[in-house]
Amino acid sequence: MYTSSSFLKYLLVSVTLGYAVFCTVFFLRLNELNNKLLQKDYGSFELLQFNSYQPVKYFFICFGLIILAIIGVSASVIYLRSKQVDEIEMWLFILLIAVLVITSILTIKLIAIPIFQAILGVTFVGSILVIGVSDSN
Amino acid sequence: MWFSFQERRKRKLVKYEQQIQHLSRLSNGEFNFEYIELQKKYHFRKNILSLFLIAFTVSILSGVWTKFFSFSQKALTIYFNQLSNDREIVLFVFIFLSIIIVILTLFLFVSLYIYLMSLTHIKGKILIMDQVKQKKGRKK
Repeated sequence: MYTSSSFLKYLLVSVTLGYAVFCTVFFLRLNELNNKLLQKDYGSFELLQFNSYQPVKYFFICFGLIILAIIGVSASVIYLRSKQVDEIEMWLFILLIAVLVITSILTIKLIAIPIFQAILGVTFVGSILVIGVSDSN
Repeated sequence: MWFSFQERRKRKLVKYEQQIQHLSRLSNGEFNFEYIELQKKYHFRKNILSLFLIAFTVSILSGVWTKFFSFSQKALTIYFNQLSNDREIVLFVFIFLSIIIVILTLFLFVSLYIYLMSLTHIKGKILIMDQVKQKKGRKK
């Protein structure tokens, strides 16, 4: 029978492993998409509209991955601080935290150029447009 | 079923009895140390919640949602009255910002819920320790 702490430990480890596998496959696809987007000289909004808004969908997946990583790191730190763990367990959790941090950094690096750059550009232009048009009327 | 009310209650009862046994075995020094540490943690978290977290959450949520409502009113007016040639960009920005704000609001609420749950957990431990303390007092 599992106690709640060992259940939490197995849950964290298995979810992080699944997360790492998903991230690896996702990064390959994102890199492929980035290469396609950088080959042609798209405008910001055209770039976001590519293949029926595929870059925007990828951006939201990245956003979700980063939120999951934040939750995972917080849960691991809380577990390490609140339970008496042996040395192997401690190294396992440090490894989990390292995996989550590295994947988050890679996620940010891969999404930043050109997708996030285009999103920022379009959001800025859109906001200026809304404020400008509504003020002129 | 693992998640049914009876099973959860049974697990809580087993955990409660284990905690009582564990605490009864502790020496007086260890027990007092644990008790003080828990009380310190509980009061610190409670103070943070009442002084800082609630005010922070309410001000962020009200500020962001007020700005967003005024923005969305303008954006939808432009979109439906065809006041600009770039209507698609305006609609995209509106939908994008709505999704981001909803996700951030949910994230804030979930974080607050987890924090409250941890506070309840610590309070439960303190109540159990009070019970053990009373029992130890009666034995003497």
